[in-house]
Amino acid sequence: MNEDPIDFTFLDPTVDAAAFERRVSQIRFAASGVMARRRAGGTPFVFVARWRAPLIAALLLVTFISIALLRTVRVDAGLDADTPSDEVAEVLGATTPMSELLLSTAASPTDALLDGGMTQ
Amino acid sequence: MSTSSPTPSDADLVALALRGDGDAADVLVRRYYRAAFAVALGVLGNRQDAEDVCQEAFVKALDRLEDCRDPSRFAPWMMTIARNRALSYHTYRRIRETSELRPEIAEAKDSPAEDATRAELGARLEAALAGLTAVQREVVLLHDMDGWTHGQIAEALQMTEVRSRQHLFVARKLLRERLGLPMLKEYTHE
Repeated sequence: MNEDPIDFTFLDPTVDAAAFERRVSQIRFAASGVMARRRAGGTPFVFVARWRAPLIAALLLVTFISIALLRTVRVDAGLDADTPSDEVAEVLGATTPMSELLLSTAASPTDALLDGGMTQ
Repeated sequence: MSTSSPTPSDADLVALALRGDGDAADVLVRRYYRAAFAVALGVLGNRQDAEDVCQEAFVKALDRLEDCRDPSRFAPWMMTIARNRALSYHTYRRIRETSELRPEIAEAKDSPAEDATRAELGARLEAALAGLTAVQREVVLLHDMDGWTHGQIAEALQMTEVRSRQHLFVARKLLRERLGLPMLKEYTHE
């Protein structure tokens, strides 16, 4: 006897079809705003906005990789902070201020350009 | 909604609803309304409150559908929301009841004799359910009202299938004792 299910028809919220439809309509109405926003989510702007976090992460990753790569290249070329800028200039065929600019941030780009113009 | 399958899976429906398909959301609501109601009723023990909570739970679920990480497990996720909403409401109701007198039935409507009988039988069922624990109510309602299997119940309520069977056995036994034989005859399916 205990294997027979209990009949909960009198508590079933879907038996009163009209009342149930009202509930479903109310839910649908309440959720219509978010549904509309999702439908509008197909525009390129929203697509990019949704992917802003992964995009920023990817850009940061590329930046770190680039920095690491540049450092490696500089070390491979035998260029470091102790290398005299004259040697660098000779190797690169550039002016001393230009080589200083490449090795450090002490010389400004303006200095490099002005000096380059004077020597050539 | 545009799917080739006659009965789209929960995962398909969730994917469509995430793209703003209102019809897909509608199907999800219709598919799990009774189950969510069963869970809410299990916690609250009151039909009207359970319906209100159930409605709120669906609105919240559709609003936060992106949080459903595994769309194929929409049902357990939905039941968790329904239970949490019901628990919050339960706490709120207890506070309210201690601070003010609870009004009598707010929306007393004139109803035909059939509706009165239905309401009375529903009230007797509610009273009988009140004698069970929350988890017993959830299990028996999900199983007997919405036809869930023990496997589904175990997954949704985070218990073993054996435990689900035990809860169902005890719940049915207690309900039959409380409802009595005349009531059981009225409930017998034709």
